[in-house]
Amino acid sequence: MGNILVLDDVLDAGVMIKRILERKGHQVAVFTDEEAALGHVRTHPVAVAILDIRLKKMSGVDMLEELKKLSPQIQVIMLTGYPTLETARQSKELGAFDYCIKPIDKDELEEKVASALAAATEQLTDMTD
Amino acid sequence: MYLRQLFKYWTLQVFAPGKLLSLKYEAFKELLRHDKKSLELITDLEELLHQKVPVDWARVESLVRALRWSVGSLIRALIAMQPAAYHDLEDQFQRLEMDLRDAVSLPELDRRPPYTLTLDEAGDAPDLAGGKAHTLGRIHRETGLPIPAGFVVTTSAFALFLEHNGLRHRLDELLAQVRLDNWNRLTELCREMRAMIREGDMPPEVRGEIQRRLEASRGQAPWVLRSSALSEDGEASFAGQYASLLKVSDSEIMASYKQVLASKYATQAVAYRLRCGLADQETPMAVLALQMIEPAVSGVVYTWEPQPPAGEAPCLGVYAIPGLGASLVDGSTVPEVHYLSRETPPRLLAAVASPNCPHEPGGPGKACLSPETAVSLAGWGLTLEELAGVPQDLEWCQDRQGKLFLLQSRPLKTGSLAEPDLEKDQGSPDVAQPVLLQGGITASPGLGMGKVWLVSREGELGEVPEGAVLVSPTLPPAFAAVIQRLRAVVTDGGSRASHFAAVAREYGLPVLVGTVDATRRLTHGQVVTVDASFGRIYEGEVESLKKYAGKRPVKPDTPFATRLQALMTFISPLHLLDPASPEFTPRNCRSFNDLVRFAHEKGMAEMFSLVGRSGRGLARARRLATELPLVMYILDLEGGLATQAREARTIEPQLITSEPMRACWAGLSHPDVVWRQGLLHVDWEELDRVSAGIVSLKSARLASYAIISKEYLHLVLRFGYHFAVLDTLCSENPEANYIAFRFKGGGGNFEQRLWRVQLIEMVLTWAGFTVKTRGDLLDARFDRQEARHLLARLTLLGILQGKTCLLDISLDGEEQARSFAADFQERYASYVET
Repeated sequence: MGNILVLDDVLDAGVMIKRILERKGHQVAVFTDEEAALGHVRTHPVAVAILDIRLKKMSGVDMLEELKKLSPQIQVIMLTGYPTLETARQSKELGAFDYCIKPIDKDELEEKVASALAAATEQLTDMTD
Repeated sequence: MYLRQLFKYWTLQVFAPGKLLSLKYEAFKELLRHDKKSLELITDLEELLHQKVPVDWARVESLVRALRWSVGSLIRALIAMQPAAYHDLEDQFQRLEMDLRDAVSLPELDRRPPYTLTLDEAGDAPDLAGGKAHTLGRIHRETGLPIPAGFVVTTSAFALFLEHNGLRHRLDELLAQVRLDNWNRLTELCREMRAMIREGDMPPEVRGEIQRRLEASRGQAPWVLRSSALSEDGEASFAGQYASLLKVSDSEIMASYKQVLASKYATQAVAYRLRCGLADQETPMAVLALQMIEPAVSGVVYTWEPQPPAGEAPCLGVYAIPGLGASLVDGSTVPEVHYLSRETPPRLLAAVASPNCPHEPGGPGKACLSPETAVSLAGWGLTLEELAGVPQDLEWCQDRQGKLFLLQSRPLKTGSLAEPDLEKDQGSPDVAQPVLLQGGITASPGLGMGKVWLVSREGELGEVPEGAVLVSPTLPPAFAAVIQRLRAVVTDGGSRASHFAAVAREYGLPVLVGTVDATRRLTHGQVVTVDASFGRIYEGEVESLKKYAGKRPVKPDTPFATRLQALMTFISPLHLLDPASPEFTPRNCRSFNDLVRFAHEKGMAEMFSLVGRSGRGLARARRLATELPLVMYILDLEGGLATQAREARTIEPQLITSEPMRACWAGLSHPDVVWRQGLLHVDWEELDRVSAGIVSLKSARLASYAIISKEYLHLVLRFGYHFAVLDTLCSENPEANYIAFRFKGGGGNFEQRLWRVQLIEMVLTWAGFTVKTRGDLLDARFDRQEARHLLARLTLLGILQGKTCLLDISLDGEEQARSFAADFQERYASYVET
């Protein structure tokens, strides 16, 4: 169980992810707008963020950078239908947990989120140690 | 990037072989992950070729993007394992990737001006004006027939609108999810697409041009806005699928324009487009703005009426109703009909009054149309038929001053021409079953059998089952959305002139309209035979008519199918079959499947021969010592073999300490598995000699590979064209444990392979696996359980592999597969009870 944020410029894409992850008992907040998503991270604990790379105003890579500034322990899964070596490299350099490709199936998504959540928990434990 | 990797590799090899092995192993795991994903994506694409449920081209594009990435990552992983060796593979990948990109992309839409045209200009610009506006423009110029004043907003304005609002990729993401067999989901997706269009901003260039048109035509408002998509009214009629908006004022025109654009994503319109196999980009939408005429009478003309009055030759049909034409084409009103000869000038043959029409304009009991007007309209019909070269379907109206206007003309879909045999053979059907209903009008000929589904409102359409005979008071265009589930449609009212009738004729679905009371005479769930050609409905399925049922006009391949077939030549065919052959090179990879095959083979070879033979304190890959005619090489990563095995040339099975390998071997070597003799052994020297330890697939040799550790097993079992991969972790932590099993191919014809896959599926499902099959590819998983449960199932898998696949048993039917599975389950029940 964990707090998850999903940001995708297509509402339905976010809603589908939400439906899948909520069945696993996660709390999922879906956004299509970058500012609203950042606002949510400022005011709520978020363990894992799932970011599309093509967004309305910013790129998902910039968003990743912003999120990491706001909350360094957040684990970010990039999820894109338009993968490029460039964005894969940038995402890795900025500390993304994983770089995944659409279409993603339910099992793969659940698995990625479970391991990202495990990594988030581990990092929290490290920090408190 | 490349040099850095090479440098890293050499440094490591010289100074830290242990570290190198673990890096290589990480890269190998990455390679296996992308190999699995790539094969799944190829299978997904192959499935699109064979399945009957249409999908949007955006789905193909999205799968191809994922495949390009996955195969690219696979090759990068192989290069990470052995940087010096595979740059020619990367070159070949890039070449094929370019071919694939060309084959999948649709030509980009032109976004350059002009964004509006006059009607006359539209007559010269089919691509900019769309079907409807181009035809009207041409008619206006060449015949001078009266058409309301107006202008066209072009397809390039639509393209600019999408670009301006960044909508292409957002629409594609939703379109990629569309499946016609899930109505509720389709409705949801279409709703979001329409909202995206309505919420978009008008590009200033387009807004400016529309403003200038409005200023130049002061006083002509209100307008009628109509869709004029590319392909509309051509091969595919799209009859009634898009929006027309009436009484639009100058100030409403921008919002109304977006509303017409949004109707491109109406549920029924998307469903119709997909069935035609057209891509979204192939049907960009222009919008036609015509001055609104307040009609006293509206109607259509068919220049080739297939049901002429008794005793007459084929003739023209003029259909009329009072007021707006909408209730005629939406199927809710029965019109008055005038039949006219195809002479010049046409002669009135007969007129049939409408039961619900005769109030205006001639007063009670009077017809809508005077005979003179009917003759004029028929004359227009003949003129337009001559211009187009094929029978036409015209829409017209008459204002209160009696002036006639032409609104639209498109090729008439006749439908009856597709089934001449049916009508000839069937002159006087000799049928024993009771006739439930006789009469009505043939809106689309043909014969269908099925269960009656009574419709009272459109909202229920999502629930209409496969094989239904739809019975309804009216004939709305929305029926088009479920057309592939229907066997026939019968309505109380409606007319041949409705939009749905045009779609049904195109599709070959029998439709009988104007039966007056079919909704009362037929009961929900009753099985009936509908003979729409002869206007009869029989109780039950009429045996003697079965041969005519469900006959559809033979359709040529859709643009979707043609494009997909061309695309698949870069993806699907496997040319590299024999790794021992000198042809097994990157240069000879001609499809993505070849690239995947090559990279997987070389990845295995890297793992086995290069690391295995290098010594340097690493465990070597060695052969398993066994009496079975099976050659298996084992590479131990850590703790998979007993200490005594370290120096031995071959490995005795009892020295295996890898738990999953022991379990699996117990199955493969189970006394119940009777191995067919005569299989050739392959020794290590021989393996070395042929390309990096890989044997020929064509030969009858068997070479299997296992990478093991104490808790881990990656096993590739091969025999001939069988290919089974088992990947499993059996640790103390149940949450991390899994068995992933994949099986593909095998000997025999495609059907036999499917039976074999079905058999394996039955057994594994029974054993608690989650199984997915697509074609002859089977994927099974067993997750998150205690190790002992996994180990029991690994033994079971071993027995199953031995009994079914390696022995190459030949199945002669589904029944045999089922009984084999039942015997198996009974005999080995104890393995599943643990």
